[in-house]
Amino acid sequence: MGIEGINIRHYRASGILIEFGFGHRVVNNRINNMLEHGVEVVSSRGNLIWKNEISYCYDGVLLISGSTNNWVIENVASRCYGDGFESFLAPDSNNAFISNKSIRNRNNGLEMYGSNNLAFNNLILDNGIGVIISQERDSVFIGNKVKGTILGTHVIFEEYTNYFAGGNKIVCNREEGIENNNGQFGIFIDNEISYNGDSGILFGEESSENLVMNNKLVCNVPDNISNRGTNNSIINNTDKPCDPCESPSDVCDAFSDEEGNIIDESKVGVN
Amino acid sequence: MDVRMKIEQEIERKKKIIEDCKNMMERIPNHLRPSQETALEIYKRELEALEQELVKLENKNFMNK
Repeated sequence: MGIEGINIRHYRASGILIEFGFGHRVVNNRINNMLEHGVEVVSSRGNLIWKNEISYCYDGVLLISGSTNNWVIENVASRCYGDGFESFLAPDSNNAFISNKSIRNRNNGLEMYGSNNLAFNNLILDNGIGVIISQERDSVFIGNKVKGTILGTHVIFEEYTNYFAGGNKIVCNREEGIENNNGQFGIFIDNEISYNGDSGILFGEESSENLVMNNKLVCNVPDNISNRGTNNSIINNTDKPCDPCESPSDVCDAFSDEEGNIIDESKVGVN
Repeated sequence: MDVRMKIEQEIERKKKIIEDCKNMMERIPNHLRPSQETALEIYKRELEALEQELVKLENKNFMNK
């Protein structure tokens, strides 16, 4: 079944709900001011959520209760009261979040629980927390941009195993660029992590056996890399401190106009 | 966020919405009421699923002790 080109607003439930469904297409809808979520996918698999504009909902797109193999592509979730995009718990696995924009949501830009989920080429801008990775193993985070988060940027916890983050740009966030509390066997490669208000990469005491290689780390305060874990390998990274009299906030203020148009675009769906 | 806390928060939020929905039901016009009742049923089902998830988690933690 396809749901395409509908304006949905001011409902007391979710805008679009797929329950025990398979292979449905939710394309190019505008959803705003829901009491619940923009698009909610419950115990469903293989659905396409594409080019929807969602604002002022609880979560933008929520995958829950064992939703797997879903494609969430080129959506905009902005100004939601919960998260922009979320896979809720460990059974919500094998999903793809590609080229979405998650802008100014109150909680998390992208909350990815479960195994083998993919986040590729997403823009995660000005959210409470940028990205949460938790429960199980093997998820991948490639080519995303995370900027302007307030309470945390990219947080990995619950002993997440075999996580891969590569080619991401993580700049101008208020706290650590990547915070790996107790993850194991993660790979962090070719990321640009700059001008964050706390360490660029922080490995907690219980983290172990992670690889950090070929990343560019510039002017993260106090340290570009803070390693409190065991057997983490840190190889061949560009580790550049701030220039004299330079601080992340000075540099980021200059960057902030660059994103102004994107934020204005995110208002398009609001009626 | 801890998984247990995450589920508990979601249960709390869902309960509040169900309560609000029930209170609103009287004020909803007759022709819209069936769809609102359907939404309420969905909420209740989701709440039940979350509560079961929490019980499963508690059992698992108990077994691990």
